[in-house]
Amino acid sequence: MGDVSVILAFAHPFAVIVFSTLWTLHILKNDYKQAIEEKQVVQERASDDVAHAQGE
Amino acid sequence: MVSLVEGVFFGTLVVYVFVGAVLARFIDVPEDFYVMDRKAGSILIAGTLFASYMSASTMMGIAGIVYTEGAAMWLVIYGSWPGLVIGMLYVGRRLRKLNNVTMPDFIGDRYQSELVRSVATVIMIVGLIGYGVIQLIGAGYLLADFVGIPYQQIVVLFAIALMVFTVAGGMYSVVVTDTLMGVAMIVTGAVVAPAAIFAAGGIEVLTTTLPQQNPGVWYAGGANMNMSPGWLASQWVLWLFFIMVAPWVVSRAFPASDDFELMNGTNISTFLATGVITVLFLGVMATYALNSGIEPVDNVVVWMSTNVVHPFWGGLAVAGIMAGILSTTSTIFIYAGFGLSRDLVERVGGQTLTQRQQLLGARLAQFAVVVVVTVIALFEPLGIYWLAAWAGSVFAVAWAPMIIAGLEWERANKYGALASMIGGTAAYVLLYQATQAWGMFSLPFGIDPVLPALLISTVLMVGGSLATSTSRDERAFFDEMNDVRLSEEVIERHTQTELKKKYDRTRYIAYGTLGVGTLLFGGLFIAIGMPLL
Repeated sequence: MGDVSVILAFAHPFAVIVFSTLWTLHILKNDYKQAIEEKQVVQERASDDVAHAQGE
Repeated sequence: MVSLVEGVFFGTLVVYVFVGAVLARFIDVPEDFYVMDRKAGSILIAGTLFASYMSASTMMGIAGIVYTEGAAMWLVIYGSWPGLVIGMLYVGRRLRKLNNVTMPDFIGDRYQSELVRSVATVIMIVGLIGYGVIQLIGAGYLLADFVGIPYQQIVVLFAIALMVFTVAGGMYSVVVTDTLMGVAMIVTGAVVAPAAIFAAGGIEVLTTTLPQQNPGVWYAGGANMNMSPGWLASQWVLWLFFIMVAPWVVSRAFPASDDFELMNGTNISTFLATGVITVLFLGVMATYALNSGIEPVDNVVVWMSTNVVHPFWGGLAVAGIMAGILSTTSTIFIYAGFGLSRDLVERVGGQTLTQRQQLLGARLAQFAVVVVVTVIALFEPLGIYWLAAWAGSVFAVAWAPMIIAGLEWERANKYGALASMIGGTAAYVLLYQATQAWGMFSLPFGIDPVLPALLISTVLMVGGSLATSTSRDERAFFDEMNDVRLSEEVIERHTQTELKKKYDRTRYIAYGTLGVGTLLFGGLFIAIGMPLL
């Protein structure tokens, strides 16, 4: 049990940091990545429209 | 004549009070008072979360157990670390998107019941006061010993400081002073603990000297207590469920200016909480080799601060212990006050107040809470120790199943919530009394009463909801809640360039804390763990 305790004593707090990091990366990917890309497309379209209208 | 240690200590206290008083200027409307007008950035969220998380339990009670039993026990069973992450990234984020100001805001709205809100608020106030008073009593005795001022005067001095933090400045003061206090706590872990290890003979004291004296110091069951795996597992579960719904942790999500700041604050504070506590516990363990006769054992960190470092660092470190107590206490009291003014008077009582009246009500409630708590701390009724012993477990059994079901299960209803809260609390108190106080029977595998009570509370939540009907309003609120995405508001508010910048920064901070964490814990494992295997 001593060996397992020694490993767990350091693995447990480290695992919590890994858990927090992975969860954050999951939220970023799930909630924001696509939305930011879509917002870029919308903004590019809007500026294209403005340029087009000014050209006319 | 005031010593340098006392000078630094009192100087730090004066800085906290001064900053708290100055910040009262920023309070114009109730939103400022309750959630800092949702303006806190990553550093403030990390600081307040870390400081509120560190408490008298960590710096005194648990440190005392680590001193005699070795560091492995608490490094293994500290379920409050994952509880902190789940409390912020799951419960806190979900509640924040609903623009909740307090947790009973969500509970009453989700179950469409003022009775459920009242029961949840009363449990919260009783639990908070029980947990808060014990912190204040701990601080009083610690400092009475340290500065030689009578216990009663210390308690009154602390009450005045708390009055400034909470009554005048509300969440603004608490968040900023918490962050300052966090710095003092880092000193305790990052300066005093390594100094104790080196004073005791370096890393070898942990890998050779102490294990030779007692091989049990590296067993999770403890050097002398020999606790069973069942007890260890139930302590981990207790701390996990307690901290994941503890109002002073979850509500730290509310002042964050946006979702990115919330995630950054969580990652930074998770690194600080795991890193500082691990190093602190290793330092406490090494202190046993320096002096095995510290009495009471709760004062081990004070002994380290006054004996192994320069008085300047010693003063800051004792200020760090005081900060751990003050920050947790101020946050606990502020939520007990919010429970009184916002949840019971405004929401349950249905009082329509002007903003000025709301602010005045919130401040009067804070004042009342501080006075009540100070009086209890001064007279120390025996019952308060029972209440404090139950406080963490009661939050775990009464709130956790009801909140998780409310967030995840459409069928969850007010009858299930009431049965779970009342039945879970009663089951825990009865099981605790029967097994620990009255000695009527013992639970198998040495498990803590919190495990069966949590199971009973969950069964009551599910059974109560299935046996009764869920109202249309409850279902409508659940559907509406799940239609809202926390990211929507953030995405709408910022330009694409700003979002990209925040997105990248959050990723870098997450990878950064992971990198530093790998170095710290990898290094500790190579230096201390490997020689022991």
